[in-house]
Amino acid sequence: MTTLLELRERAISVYSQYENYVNMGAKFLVVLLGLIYINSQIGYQTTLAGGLPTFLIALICTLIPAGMIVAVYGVIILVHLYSLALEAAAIGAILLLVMLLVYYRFTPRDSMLLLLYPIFRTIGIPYALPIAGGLLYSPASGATVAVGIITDSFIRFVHQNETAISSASGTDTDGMVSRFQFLLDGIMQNHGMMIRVIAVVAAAVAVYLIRRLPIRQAWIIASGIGALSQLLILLVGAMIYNTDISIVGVLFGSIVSFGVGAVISFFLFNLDYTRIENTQFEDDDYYYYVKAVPKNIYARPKRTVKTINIRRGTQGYAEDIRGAENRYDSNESAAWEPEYAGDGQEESGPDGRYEDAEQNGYPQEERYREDGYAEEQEPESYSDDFQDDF
Amino acid sequence: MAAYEQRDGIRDEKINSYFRGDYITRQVLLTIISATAAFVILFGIYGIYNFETLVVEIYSMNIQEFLTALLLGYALFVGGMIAITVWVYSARYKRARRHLNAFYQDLHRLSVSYQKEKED
Repeated sequence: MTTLLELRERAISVYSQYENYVNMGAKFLVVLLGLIYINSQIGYQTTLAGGLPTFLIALICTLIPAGMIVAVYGVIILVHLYSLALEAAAIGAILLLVMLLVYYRFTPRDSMLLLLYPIFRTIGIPYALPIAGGLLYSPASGATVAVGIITDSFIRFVHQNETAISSASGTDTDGMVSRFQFLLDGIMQNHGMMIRVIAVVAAAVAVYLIRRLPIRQAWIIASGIGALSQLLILLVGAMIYNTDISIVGVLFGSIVSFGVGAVISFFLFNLDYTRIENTQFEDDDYYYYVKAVPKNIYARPKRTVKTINIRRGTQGYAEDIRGAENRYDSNESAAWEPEYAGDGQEESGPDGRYEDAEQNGYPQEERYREDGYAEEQEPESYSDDFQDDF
Repeated sequence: MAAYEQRDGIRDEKINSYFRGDYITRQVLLTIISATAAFVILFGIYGIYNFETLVVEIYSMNIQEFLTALLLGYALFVGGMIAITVWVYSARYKRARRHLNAFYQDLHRLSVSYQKEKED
C-alpha cells in the first residue's frame, strides 16, 4: 500500500509539475484518436479524412475548450455525411441540433466524456464512462454518454448501410421521404442503442447517489453497483430484444469499468477508515456531530540536511593557512609544515585556530584585521553568538 | 486561489452579477426558446417518420383532439425542460456564491496575514 501511495504521490507531483503540457498532450491525443475513429467509420470526404488535415484539426482543437471540440466533431460528421448523401447529412444535422438544444443548452462540464467515448468504444469499455462521470461529475454525465451512444449508433448505421443510402439518393419527394424514414428507422428501431442509453443513464445516477452516501468505501461501492446495474440492464435488454450487444463484451467491459472506478477512487477518494475520529462541538446556533475520516497520504521520510556554513573570515583564514608556507621563510624553520586548516567549507575553524596561528608566528590581531573584524569591533567585545561560533 | 480566480472564478463572477431570480428567469426564457425549437424539430421528424399514416388519417382525424394532444405534449416537454433548468441553474447559482464566499474569505485572511507581516 505504501508503495502504491508513493507512486500516487509521485504521479500527482509529476502531473502538477507538467500540468499544462500533460493536459495539452492528452487533449491532442484524445482528439486525434476521436477524429481517426470518425474517419474510419464515415470518412467519405477524402480531403478531410486525410492524415495531414486530421493532424492539423487535432492540433487546433488542442487550443479550444472541450465544448467547442464537440461542435468541431459535429461539423466534421456533417461534412462526411453530406459527401455520402444529403438525407444522411440532414438527419445527422437534426439529430445534433436536437441534442444541442436539449442537452447542450445546459453547457455541461463533462464534455470530455463525450470526446473520450470513441476511444473507450474502440477498446470495448464504453461502460466505464458513466461510472467515471458519476464519480467525477454529476448524474447528468449519463446523458452526456447517452449523446455519445446515439451519435455513435447513427454513424455506425450509416457506415453499415452506406451502399443503400448513397445509391438511393435522388430528388423525387417520395424517394426522399422513404430515405429519411430509412435513416430514422436506424435510430428509432435500434433497440441495442436504447438499452445502452438506459443502462448508462441508470449507472451514472446510481454511482452519483451512492458515492455521496456517508458510508465506508463509498466510491468503490458506487463503482461496483454502477458496473453491476449496467451489466444487468444490458443482459436483460439483450435477452428481451434481439440486439447486437455482446454478452462477453459486456461482462469484460463491466469488470474493467469497475477497475476504472477503483483507480479513480484510489487517486481521488483514498481514505484511511482505521483512523476515523468522531468529534462534537457547538456554536451559537448548532451542535455539530462530526465524523472525520483522514485521507491516506504517503508520509515522505524526513531528510536531515546538515547545513555547513562558511563563517566570515574562516575561508580567508583557511586560505591563509594553506598559503602560510609562503609567508614563512622555509629556511628559518625547515621542519615546519603548515597545519591543515580545511578547505574553507567547514562550519568554522576549530577552537583555538587563531591562537594556534599566533603560536606559529602569525599575530592574532593581524589575522582579525585581515579578515575584516578589526574594523568592526574589538575581538573582546564580540557578542556571545559570535564567540560561540569560535 | 489564483487558479480559481483565473478559471472558475471568471464564470462565478459572471453568475454573481445577477440576482438569483433574474439569473434563473433569464435561463428559463432561453430554455423556453430552445425547447420550442427542439419540439418543432422533433414534431417535424415525427411527421416525416409517420408521413404515410398522417396523409391517410389527416381527413378522418379530429383536429381539435390532435391539437390538444400536441399542446399537451408541448407543455409537458417545455415544462420538463423548465423544471430541469430551474434545478440546474439554482444549484449553479448556489455553488457560485459558495465558491465566491470562500474565495473572498481566503482573500481577506491573506490580506490580514500580509498586513501582520508588514507590521512585524
